[in-house]
Amino acid sequence: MALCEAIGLTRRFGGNAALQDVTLGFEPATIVALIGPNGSGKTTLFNLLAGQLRPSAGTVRWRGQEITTWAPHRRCRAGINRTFQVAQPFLDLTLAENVALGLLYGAPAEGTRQRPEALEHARDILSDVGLATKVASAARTLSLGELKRLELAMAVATRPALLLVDEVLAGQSPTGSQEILGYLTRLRTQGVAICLVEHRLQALLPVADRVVALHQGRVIAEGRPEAVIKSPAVLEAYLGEPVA
Amino acid sequence: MLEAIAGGLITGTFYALLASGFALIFGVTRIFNLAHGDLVVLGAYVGEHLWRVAGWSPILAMPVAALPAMGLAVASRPLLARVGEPFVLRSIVLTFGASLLIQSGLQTTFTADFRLIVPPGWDHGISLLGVRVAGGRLSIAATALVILALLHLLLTRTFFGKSLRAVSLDREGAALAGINPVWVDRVALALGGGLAGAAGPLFASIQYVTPSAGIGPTLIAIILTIFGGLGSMSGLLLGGLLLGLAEGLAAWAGGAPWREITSLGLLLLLLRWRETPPTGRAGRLMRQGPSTGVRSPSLATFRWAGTGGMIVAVLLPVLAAPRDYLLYLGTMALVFSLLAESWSLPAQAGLISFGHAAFFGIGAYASALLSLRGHLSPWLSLIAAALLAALFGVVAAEVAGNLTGAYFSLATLAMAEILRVVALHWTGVTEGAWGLVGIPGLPRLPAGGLAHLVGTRATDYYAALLLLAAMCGTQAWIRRAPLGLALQAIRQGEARAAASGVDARRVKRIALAVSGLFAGGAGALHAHIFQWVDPASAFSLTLSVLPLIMAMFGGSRYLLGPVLGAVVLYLGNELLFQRLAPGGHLWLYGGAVILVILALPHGILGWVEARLEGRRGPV
Repeated sequence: MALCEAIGLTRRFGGNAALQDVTLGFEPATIVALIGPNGSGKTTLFNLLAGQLRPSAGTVRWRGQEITTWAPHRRCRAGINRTFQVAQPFLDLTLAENVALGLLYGAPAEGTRQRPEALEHARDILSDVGLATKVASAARTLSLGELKRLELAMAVATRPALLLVDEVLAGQSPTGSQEILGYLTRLRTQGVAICLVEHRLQALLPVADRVVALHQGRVIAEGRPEAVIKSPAVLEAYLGEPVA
Repeated sequence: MLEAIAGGLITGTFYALLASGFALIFGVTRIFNLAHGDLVVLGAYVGEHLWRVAGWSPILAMPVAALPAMGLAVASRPLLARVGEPFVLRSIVLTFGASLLIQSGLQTTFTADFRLIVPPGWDHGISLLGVRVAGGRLSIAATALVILALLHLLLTRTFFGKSLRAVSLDREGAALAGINPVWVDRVALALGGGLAGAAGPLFASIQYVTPSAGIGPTLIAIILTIFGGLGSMSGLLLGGLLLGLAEGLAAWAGGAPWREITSLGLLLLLLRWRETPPTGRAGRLMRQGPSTGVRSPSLATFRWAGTGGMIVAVLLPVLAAPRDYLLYLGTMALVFSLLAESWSLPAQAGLISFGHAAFFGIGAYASALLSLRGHLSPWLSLIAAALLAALFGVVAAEVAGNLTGAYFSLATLAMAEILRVVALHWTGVTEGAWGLVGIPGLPRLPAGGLAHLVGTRATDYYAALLLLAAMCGTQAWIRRAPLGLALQAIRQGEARAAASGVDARRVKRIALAVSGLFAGGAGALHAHIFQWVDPASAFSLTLSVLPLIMAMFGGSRYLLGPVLGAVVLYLGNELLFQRLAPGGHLWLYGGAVILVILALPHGILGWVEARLEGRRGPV
């Protein structure tokens, strides 16, 4: 039984089908890279899995249970969490407070209960993602790259079993990207299932166990990284023409 | 029944005219003008004056009545730049302050008499398609249709009208196309204000006018604008017809009070319905919550001042005795402090209540009824009443659902108004406008040594102090607990908070229940101190917004800010403004609100903190 399954997920916005009949599974301790041109439905898939949107058709299963109608906070506590492509931290709170919220409310029952402990713990998580120096600053003072790291810290604070990471490498330097990918591989060894949306394919390939390619809302390829990026369907989606 | 339908439809066309000015101003300038109805009332007074003194028909008086309203509206344009974010919510608070000022001006100039224009022959019935309608109403409807048609032509066929629509759709885009948004603002304000004022004389021939009658037209304008959308006169007309029809049928079926309840209920439904689909920029602006947070300034000055204040508060009865009046002032200041503190709790989650009178009134009436009719001891009634108000807090959270920002505020306003109408008309239980009298007070101290020290009414005072201490203690605890963090997070990004595991609905329910508990307690105390309660004092709109004014004036970010604001404004009113003029309190509160929005974003304590930090230099 897979940790998380999307079965026949479809989502329409008016006449436009952002996602069509997508079926995917996620296993613990794996990193899945989700690739595809802009508009292929990657963020929509994340929204459907994490609960920000309801599907027009299809179901989401978590550890065998159907959770399609569950609200986001419930899914978060169950162990699914995601970062937001457009970072939306709590601007007037400090970074520690931003992360502490997830510790207090999103982590499963054994999570921290008291605010001061949560703030302490939050500082540890923030230094893991490289934001140790900014722990007491307000979130509105961060740069784009730092915001992405904050998003990651906030998601990790909720002790996810499935972590959906939406374009976290955007705005990072090459060393920064390596650090983040290193962090994610460490999470993988702890058993977390990770799904990464990224455009920086070269950075992903050494790290990913599996690649799923989306195009116009459908899965067009799935499998080992080397195979997927060379498949004709994927090349056509990105480059627009069959490549001889 | 056909007459009710016809009457309703006819009134409905007038409603559309009534709403047109509001919709125009909101659409172009994004000002949510809560003083709209007061501009109508202003025009009504002008029209009534012209009719009484010179015999002018209301229709003739319209252009003249439009002028003062137009002037006021245009004169307010320079203030727009100082309103700050979130614009719509702050403009609601600002225009509410303006409304209070206008009302007090009207009260001073025209006195509080009821006025009505009764042009000869206007109630003469005319047969229209076999149904009898009042001739006067028909003229009003006809005038309204003509004006709406002209407006429609203006907006769609002239360049001028198109610039108005352009700015309301996309301000920056219109500027890039060469349209000056500032000029368009001025025109929209002039036109919108003028439409409101012009509708005044017609309004005065439909119903009695008093200085505080503005809330009616304002609510109608809000309902129709939310329903009809911003650029569309036909949308307003359709909404007006439907509203008039619904009200007419409700009044025919159930009697006059159901007219108001229907329109308020429709407003609530509309808010829920319109809130979920993202209706473009206007919808997004309406959903925005406020951006001020909480602060625990470590300034020693504040700590000392707070502690000093607490010591004075505990000893006041000793210091004030034997002057009962001083003790009474102190007690009432505590009651209002309690109300203001209770308001500030949901405000931390971005829930800006414009209907806190609902809790206050429920507490007051429940405690009154339980002790008067149920023969419970005042202490027990007070506790029970507070719990009942807390329960209503949960109900209010459910009714409001996922509403945020201005939508939520309007919903609370509607709920409080519904309760007021119920209290006014459910005479079997509440005795209607007469109110309940002879409510048992809290036990007095028996004459003797202790009473000599603190006065016989010290029980009232210490009961209030106890409740206030409990409220402040709760607030202090919340600010340190995870709940406080959750409230802040919800305010700054509810979706993100939910994704971090916060059950936003539950947190809001808790905030409103606790707020209701203490606000209801304040109401109950008030009832037992005055030993009398009536709908106007328990559920008035001013009372609803008073905690907002007091909390913001003191500085709602700070734990004791609302207490400070309440003490200053209440004492300022009782000792000073109330004596200057009968409507004096309106000047004070209106002025305080405007001052806060335009100049003191974090209230008095915010100003003090900025001064103190300035003197120390940047840390």
